[in-house]
Amino acid sequence: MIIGRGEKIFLWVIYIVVTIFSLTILYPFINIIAISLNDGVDALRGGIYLWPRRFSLAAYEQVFSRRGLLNAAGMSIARTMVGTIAGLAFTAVLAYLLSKRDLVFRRGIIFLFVFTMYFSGGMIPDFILIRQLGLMNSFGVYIIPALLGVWNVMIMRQFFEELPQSLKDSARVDGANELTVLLRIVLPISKPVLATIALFIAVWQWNAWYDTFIYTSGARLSTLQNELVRILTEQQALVMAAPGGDMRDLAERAQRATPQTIQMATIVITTIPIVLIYPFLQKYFVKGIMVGAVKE
Amino acid sequence: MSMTLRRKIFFNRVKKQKFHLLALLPFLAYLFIFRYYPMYGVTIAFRNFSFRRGIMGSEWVGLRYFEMFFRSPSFNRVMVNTLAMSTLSLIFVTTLSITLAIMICEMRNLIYKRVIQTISYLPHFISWVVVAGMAMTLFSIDGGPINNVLMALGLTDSPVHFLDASMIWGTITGLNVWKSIGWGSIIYIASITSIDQGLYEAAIIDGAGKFKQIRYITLPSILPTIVILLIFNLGYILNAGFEQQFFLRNPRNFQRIEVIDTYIFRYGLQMAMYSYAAAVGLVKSVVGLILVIFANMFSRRVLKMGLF
Repeated sequence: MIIGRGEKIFLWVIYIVVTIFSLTILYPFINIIAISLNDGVDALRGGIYLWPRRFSLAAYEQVFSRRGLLNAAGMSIARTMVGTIAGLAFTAVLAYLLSKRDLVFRRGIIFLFVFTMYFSGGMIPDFILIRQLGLMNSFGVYIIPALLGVWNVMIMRQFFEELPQSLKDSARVDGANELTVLLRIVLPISKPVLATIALFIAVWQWNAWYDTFIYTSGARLSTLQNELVRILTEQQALVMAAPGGDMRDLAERAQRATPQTIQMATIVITTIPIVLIYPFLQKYFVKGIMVGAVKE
Repeated sequence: MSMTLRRKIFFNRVKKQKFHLLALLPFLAYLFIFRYYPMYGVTIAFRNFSFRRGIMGSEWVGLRYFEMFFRSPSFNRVMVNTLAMSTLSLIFVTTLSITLAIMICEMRNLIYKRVIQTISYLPHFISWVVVAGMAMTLFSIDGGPINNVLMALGLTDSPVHFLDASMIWGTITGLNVWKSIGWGSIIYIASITSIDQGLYEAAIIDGAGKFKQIRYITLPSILPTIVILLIFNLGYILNAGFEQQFFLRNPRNFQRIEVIDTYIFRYGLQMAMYSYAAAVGLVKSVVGLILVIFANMFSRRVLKMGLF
C-alpha cells in the first residue's frame, strides 16, 4: 500500500503516543522494583527513579523472614488454587446446564441469574448472611461466596452454545449421559474459555482483600494483599504522626529495611505471579471478552 | 391446541429433562441463598436491626433511616463526590479506551502491536492495594519521582499535593484511567476489526484522509458497542469504587474522597449501624437499577438498540 505524507505523520504520532502510554504503565513498576532493592534508610531521601541508588536486599530478607508474611503467602496460594478449581467447576457445570436450548423455563432461569448483575442486597445484607451462615473466620468464606460469577457463567454459556450441536447429539446417541457429554466432549474442546475463566477467577482470588478484612480476624487466614494493606496503612499512620523521625528509628531496628522498602518488596512479590501468567493466556481472554461482548 | 395437550407436551419435556433440572436445583438454591436472600435481608433498612433479634424479629421503623440519610449533612457531600468521580472516570475511561483502540488498530508492526497490547492489560490484573501503594510512592511530596521531575522541569516551585482534597478527584480519575483503558480497549478493538474493510477502501478512493475515515466510518460503526457499554455502566454510576478511596483516604482529603460505598462501609461495618447503612445501600441499588432501565428504554426508542 502506498502511504502519503500525511498518513506517515499520522502513523508516527500514533507510534509515539502508544509508546509513551506503555511507558506510563511500566514506569511505576520499575520505580517500585528500584526502591524495593534500595537501602531503606537511603530510600527515605527520595529521588530514586530507574535503579537503586544503594543496592540492598534487606527488604526482601525482612519479608521472607517475617513469619506472618510467609503464612499470608501460603494462604494466598491456597485460596487461589482451591478457589479457582472450585469456581471453575461450578461455572462450567452451571454454564453447561444453562446452554441447553430447549430447557424448560430457560429464559426465566437465565433472567434470575442475570438480574443479580443489576440489583443486589449490598454490603450489609451480605455481611449479615455470612455471619448467619457461620462462615466468619473460616477458610470457606474465601471459596463459597465467590463460587458464582454471573458474568463468567454467561461467557462460558455462550461458548458452549456455539459448539456444534451435532457433536453433543452424536455422543448421546451412543448412550452417553449428560455428565459424560460434558466431561468427554464439551470440556476438552473448550480449553480457550476454560483458561479465560480460570484466569479471571484466579486473579480475583489472588487480589481479594475485602473478605479477609471484613470476615476474618487474626493472622491465621491473613493473605498477602491483607498484609500489604496493613503495611500500607501502618506506614501512612507513621508518616502522619511524625514525618521522618520515627521511620528512621524503625529503620535502624529493622536493619536497613524500612516500612517503605518492605512495602515495595511485598508489592513486587504479590505482582510477580500475575505478570508471569497473564501474557501467556492473552489470546484466550481477549477472545473470551469478545464472546461475552457480542451478545447480552 | 387444547390446554390439556399443551400441558401434556410441557410435562413430557420436564420428564425428559428430569436429570438436567435436578442438576440445576443446587445452583438455584445457591443463587437464592447468596444473591436473593441478601435482597430480602436489605429490608433491615426499614427495621431497627440487631443480630440478636434477627431480621424478622427487629422492630419495623419505616422510612426513618432513609430520612436520616437524606437529611444528614453528609448526604450532599457523599453524593457529589460519588457522582464526580464516577462521571469523570466514565467519560475519560470511555473516550481514552476508544482512542487507544483506534490507535492500536492503526499500528502496522504486528509484533510491536502485540507488545503494546500486552502491556496495556497489565494494570487490570493488579490489585488496588498495589496501585494505591504505587500512587503514594510516585506522588509523594518528599522526593517522589513525579514531583521531583515536575520541579526539575520548572513546572512547579513546590511539590504538588496530588493526594490532597483539591486534587484527589483528578488523581483517582487518573488512576482509574491508568488501570482500565487497556482492558477497556479490547472490546472496541474487536468492534473495529469487524468493520468491513471495503468501506475504508471506498473512502480512500473518495480521497478521505485518516481523520475523515475515523470520523465517518470507524466511530459510526462502533457506536452500538459504545452505547451498550454506556447503558451498562450507567447502572454503576453510583459505584465510584471502594478500594481506591479506602486506601488513599487521609485526614487531608477526607471531605472529597468519601463515596457512597466507603460511607456504607464506615457506618455499617465499622460503627455497626447496620440498618442505616443498609438503607443507604438500598438507595444506591435502586437508583442503579432505575438508571439502567431508563437508559435502556431511551436507547431502544431513540437509537433502536439496547442491552435487553
